Amino acid sequence: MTFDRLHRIVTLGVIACGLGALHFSGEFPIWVSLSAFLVSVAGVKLHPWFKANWIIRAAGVVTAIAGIAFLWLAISDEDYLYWAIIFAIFLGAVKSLMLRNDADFMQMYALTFLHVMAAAVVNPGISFGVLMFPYVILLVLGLQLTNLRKGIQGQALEGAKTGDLQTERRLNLALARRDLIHGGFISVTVGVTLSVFLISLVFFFIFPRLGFGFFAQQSRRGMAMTGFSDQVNLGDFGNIAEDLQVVMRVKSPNARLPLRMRGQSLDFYDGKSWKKTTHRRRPMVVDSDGIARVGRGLDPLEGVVAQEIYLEPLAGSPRVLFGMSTPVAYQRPPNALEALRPKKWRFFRDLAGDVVLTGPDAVSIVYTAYSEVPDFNPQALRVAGNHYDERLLELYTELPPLNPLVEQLASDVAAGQNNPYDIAQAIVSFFHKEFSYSLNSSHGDYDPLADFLLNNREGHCEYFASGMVILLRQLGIPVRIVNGFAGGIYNEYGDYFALRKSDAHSWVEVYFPDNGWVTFDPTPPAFLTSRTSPGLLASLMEAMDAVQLAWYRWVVEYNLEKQISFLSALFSLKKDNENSFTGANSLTRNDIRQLWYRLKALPWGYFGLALLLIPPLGIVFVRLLRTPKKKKLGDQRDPAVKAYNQLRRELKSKGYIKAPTETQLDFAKRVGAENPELYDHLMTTTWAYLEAVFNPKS
Amino acid sequence: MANRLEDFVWRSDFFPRKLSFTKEGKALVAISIGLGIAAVNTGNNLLYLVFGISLALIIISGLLSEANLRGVLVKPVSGLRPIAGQPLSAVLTVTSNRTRFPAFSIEAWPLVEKANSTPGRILDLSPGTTVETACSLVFPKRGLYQMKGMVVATEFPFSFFKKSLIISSKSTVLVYPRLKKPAFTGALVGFEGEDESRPVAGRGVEFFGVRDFRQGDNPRRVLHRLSASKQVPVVREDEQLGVQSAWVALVNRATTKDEADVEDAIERAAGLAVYLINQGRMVGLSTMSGGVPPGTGEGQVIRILDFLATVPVLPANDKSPESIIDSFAAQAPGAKLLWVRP
Repeated sequence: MTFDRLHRIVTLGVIACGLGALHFSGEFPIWVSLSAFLVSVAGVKLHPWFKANWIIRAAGVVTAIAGIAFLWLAISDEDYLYWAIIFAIFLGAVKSLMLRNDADFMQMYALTFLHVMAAAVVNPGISFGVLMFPYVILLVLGLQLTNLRKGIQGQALEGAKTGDLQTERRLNLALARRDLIHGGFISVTVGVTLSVFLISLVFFFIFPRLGFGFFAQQSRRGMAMTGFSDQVNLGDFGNIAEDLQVVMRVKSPNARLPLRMRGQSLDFYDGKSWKKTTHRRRPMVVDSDGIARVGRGLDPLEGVVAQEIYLEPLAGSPRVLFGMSTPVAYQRPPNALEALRPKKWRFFRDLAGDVVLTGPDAVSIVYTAYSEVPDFNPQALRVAGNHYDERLLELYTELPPLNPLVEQLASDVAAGQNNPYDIAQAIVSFFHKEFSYSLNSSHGDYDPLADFLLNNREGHCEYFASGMVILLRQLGIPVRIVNGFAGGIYNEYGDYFALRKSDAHSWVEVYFPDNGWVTFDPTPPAFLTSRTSPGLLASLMEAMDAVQLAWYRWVVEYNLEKQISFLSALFSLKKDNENSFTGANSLTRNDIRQLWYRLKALPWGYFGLALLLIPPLGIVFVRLLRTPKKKKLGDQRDPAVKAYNQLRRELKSKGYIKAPTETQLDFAKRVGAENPELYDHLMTTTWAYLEAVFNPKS
Repeated sequence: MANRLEDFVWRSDFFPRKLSFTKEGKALVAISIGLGIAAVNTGNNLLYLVFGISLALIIISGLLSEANLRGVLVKPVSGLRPIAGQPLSAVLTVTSNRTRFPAFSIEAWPLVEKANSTPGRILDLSPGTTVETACSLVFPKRGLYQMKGMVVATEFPFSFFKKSLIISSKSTVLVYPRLKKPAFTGALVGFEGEDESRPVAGRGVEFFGVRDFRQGDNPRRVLHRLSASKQVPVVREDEQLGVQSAWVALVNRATTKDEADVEDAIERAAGLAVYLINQGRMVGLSTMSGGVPPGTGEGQVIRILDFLATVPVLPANDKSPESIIDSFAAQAPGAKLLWVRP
């Protein structure tokens, strides 16, 4: 392959990486990056057509017009970043057609660097990290090839006149060489690339995360997630039932599949959608350990199951917190630096006992949920009775106008049962036997629940849960629908349970006096198996998710707290808990204090002295290494040699320096000619020296 | 003051390296600064990552350019005889004393003050090899130039910086004046009208005389036995019959404050002398600041141009009479005096 062809292909690779990093942000339509890439591919072959000056001028005019057009679009949309990036992509495409000399190639690399900088802003995903590897490798190679091209051009164009065909031919011949890229060049390129990676990583990890950015949380675009706001339309869960995007990751030694992570409850049904009327929230009291309890009191948490949860950024605020049924407390990792940030994290609890977290938007949340896993005795529930609080009845038995057949259905299903527990179980059995799970059923807009219960007995979890709530409320039993996640998969690469959007689930909680809310799941168990997909693909997805999590935690969300944690771990002040979600994020005041004491104890005085002395000592050392030691003639202890050396020093102080081409005798004669009174002494001393050096007496 | 500091810091033996930014290097540094500010202000970690990459490129560029120059030597050039304004091509011998890795994108040129140099380039210098390359020098005007040494430079690996290494080797370069084609060659036709040809030294076969050896003379014409007895080298001169002799009489005093008229006269004098010598004539040079006795051949061309390279320009208010020229020219009476005035 000729040098020119290789250089253009490498440049094409650099362009592709930059465009890819932008494309995988999902912000731009595919035709934008694809068309830019195809133009660049065409440029590899068609670039000789674009050398004429009039074409270059025309391209300049087109670029200027495009710039004005994009500016107008940016002002209209008020999305300056978006249109600025589109313009940068356009510039890159145009430039890729006109790569004639080394300056053009350098400008092209500058444009791809601009693409990468823009991608750093819009694409926090792992695709950015993956594309950075080939980008750096190809960029290093491309820059070196451009340096060589500069040399080739310089050689070929020396003394040339502009537009001279002979020169053009000479240049083309020079660029067609195939012998420039050899083993030595490749070795140097590999070494340079590895060094660039290493130095970049060192800078990335040690550069202190201070300044204005300290106040910014490491944000990503919030994931849109239905089912966890104050109003949920019946059927919304079906829209996300096949979305495999991971929503949360759970670490818990007591967890077993399928997980059931409770989110929030909804109490009011208007016939089409569920609403939360209990959303009046109060801030929760946080104790000295940072634990916020759902119930009142500060009882120690005993017999609870702790779950560390890494929750992806979800759109909307406040953020619903999840935990295994039934969560009794929540805790965020201690962070001594959080007090310095303007937006604080706060726990809130509403009247239904659901907990939300307020704080910075579009950031991931790491917290620990403590749950009581109740072990209800069916007999105790049967005899719990039906004396309910009025407020409870008001909230959790209200119904919209129903189809009379639905009312009849409730009675029919409950027939023969004499207590709320058995009635609930009967309804669950009814759904399991008579209905089937489906993500694709449609129940119309008029009365979808009635259609589900009476006609088309197919649906997803929302219909099952809603149906059970309606039937129980019809019978005067307080019940509410709960949205959360159920299922999940165990990721062996990351040692955590991953719950995806498709694991979103609805179930019901029935109230029993003296026992509280008890979970019932009317959805046939088949819904769990329908979402699992074993095999190589699943294994690959798990590996990708583990890598993606590591990317988010250690790159995208890398912050001052993690830097200080690393430093503390370096001094063995803190146990390195990188595997724990919360451990790596925790930074107590005690941690900082200990680190400060340890840093103070270091011998800074010696470091300072070393810093001051190293540069001048280094210079002297290097200078000594560079200066070849001149071998002295003769035995330096000989009196004649000593006398001559002394004479030379004295003459030097008077400005008489022996030239390198002068012999000792010539020097003596020269000085003697200018100072006749010294002539005899000079000659005598010089002759004695020469005798001692060249004719030493044995 | 800044120049003196620069000389001390970068061109002394203590700090023989020089680092300068290319256009691309300046752009990269500006982008890096902007990136750093953006990263610190936004707290975006991916911007920190890209910032790290740009810093790494800068650091690697500096380190590799230094490593690329290690072990690369350039032999000092000598024997240059440039003419002002004309490009002079000098062959440079570049050697790599390295044992492992090649050196890439090496440039070399002599470091001469006030001269424009186009470096010689070597794309790929294998370890332990010697390669020749040609550089080009253009001296703006005549005179004595100080050559400080040889420069070896590289922009490897990324063309962000140009690192130069100066190999100190002080010498001087004498730059001859431009040779302006004489405008009054017609006047020289008058030589043919001479009635007698006087025997003069030149390129003939009959013995004419001996004289001291001068720079430019053919060493083969040295008479060794006579030189040994006289203790100075002497050369034989042969008679050249039919050779007409001329003096180029240059008035090197300015007529106005601007010395350009004298420089123009010097160039015309140089062109005239070279023209006449190439015609086979015996030519001497006489100026108000001395001259060169008549002679012929290439040696005489060198002697005259050597003199004209450093002949001073007398100011307009100089009181020296032009008769100085006549008195110098009287050394070889009978030669035609060709005046060249500003």
